[in-house]
Amino acid sequence: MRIFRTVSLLAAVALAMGASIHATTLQLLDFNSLTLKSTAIVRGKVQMTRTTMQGSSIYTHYNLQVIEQWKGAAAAQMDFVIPGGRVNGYQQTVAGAPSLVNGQEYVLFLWTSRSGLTHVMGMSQGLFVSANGMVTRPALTEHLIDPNGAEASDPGMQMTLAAMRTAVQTVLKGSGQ
Amino acid sequence: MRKRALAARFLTGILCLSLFANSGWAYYYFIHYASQSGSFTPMPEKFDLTTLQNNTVYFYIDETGPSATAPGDSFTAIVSEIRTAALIWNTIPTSLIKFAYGGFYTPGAGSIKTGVTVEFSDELPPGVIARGAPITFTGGPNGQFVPIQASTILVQKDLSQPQTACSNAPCPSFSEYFFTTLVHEFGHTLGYVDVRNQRRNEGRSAGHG
Repeated sequence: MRIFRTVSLLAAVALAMGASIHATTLQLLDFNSLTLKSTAIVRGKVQMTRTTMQGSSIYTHYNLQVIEQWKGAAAAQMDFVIPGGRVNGYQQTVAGAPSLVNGQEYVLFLWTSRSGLTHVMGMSQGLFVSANGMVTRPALTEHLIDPNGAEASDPGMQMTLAAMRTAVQTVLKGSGQ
Repeated sequence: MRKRALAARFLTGILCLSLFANSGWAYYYFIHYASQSGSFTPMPEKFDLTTLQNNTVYFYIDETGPSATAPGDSFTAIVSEIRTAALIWNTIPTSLIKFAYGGFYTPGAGSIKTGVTVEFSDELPPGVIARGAPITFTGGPNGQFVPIQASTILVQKDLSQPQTACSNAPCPSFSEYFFTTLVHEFGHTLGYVDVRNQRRNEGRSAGHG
């Protein structure tokens, strides 16, 4: 009986995993978590600047010309990284890492690590294209789990820039940040 | 008891892999193209078997270990689970390539090792639980595939943090979740991506061959 239970459990786990086998493993962040766990939330235009190697990872650095800032220490420009890139003849391609367009305007939910490197929250979860008064993030295609550890899916997100600004301010005000 | 637990995890991994093969989702090689025009010859990203001894890719574990673990967990147990997760890939009968444990390593800035390194990292932002990716040498594709120089898996350094490690609970190495995540990430170190990411990554890698 015990063996049967164990095998059933293993089969259920395998079935759950089999339903989605993707790239980087992500925890799906809701809007509140995205806002509260970010160290900076900004709108601005990006420009790729350089690639570096840190440990065994290659990072592509972007300069962000800040247009407006909703959270974090005020800055006119920032440096942030996307995992992957080319340096010294080596290339690292990270499945699920977003592709940014030079000169494009984005709203970014950023997080700075202990080493001082600034990343986009949740790989691409904190990256929204900003155009014509709308902010848009396409559906995530990575292996996603929800806050309870269950498999999750993501339909993407779209709202007006004004609505996002208000939503961020509401969350921050509600949390006392 | 410990052997029985390990056997159960091993069986879980095998079941996972076998079901992946039967479902719509599967692993595919990350594809490069030599140019952005003309005849598009796909060049998969994978280890060069001719440079491997006994077709074996060695994996190494960050000797510094996690900065903190879930209650009841230990670095020894984590190492054991990582080793078991890697060996799941050796059960694929049609695959020539095999993983083998190479021991501990000391992470160093800018170092490129051969094989696979498993690093406990503070560089995974909230929302990212683990990340696996190969590094290729851009100067030397042989026209048929792009050889992987080394690969790395990053897992959260602080495995006691519910917010970043394993959803709303700490992420012990004896959880199925930790184990299956590691099995999954080892797949990426071999150059595999899933079917949904494959299309997007093909576009990104065009001209990078």
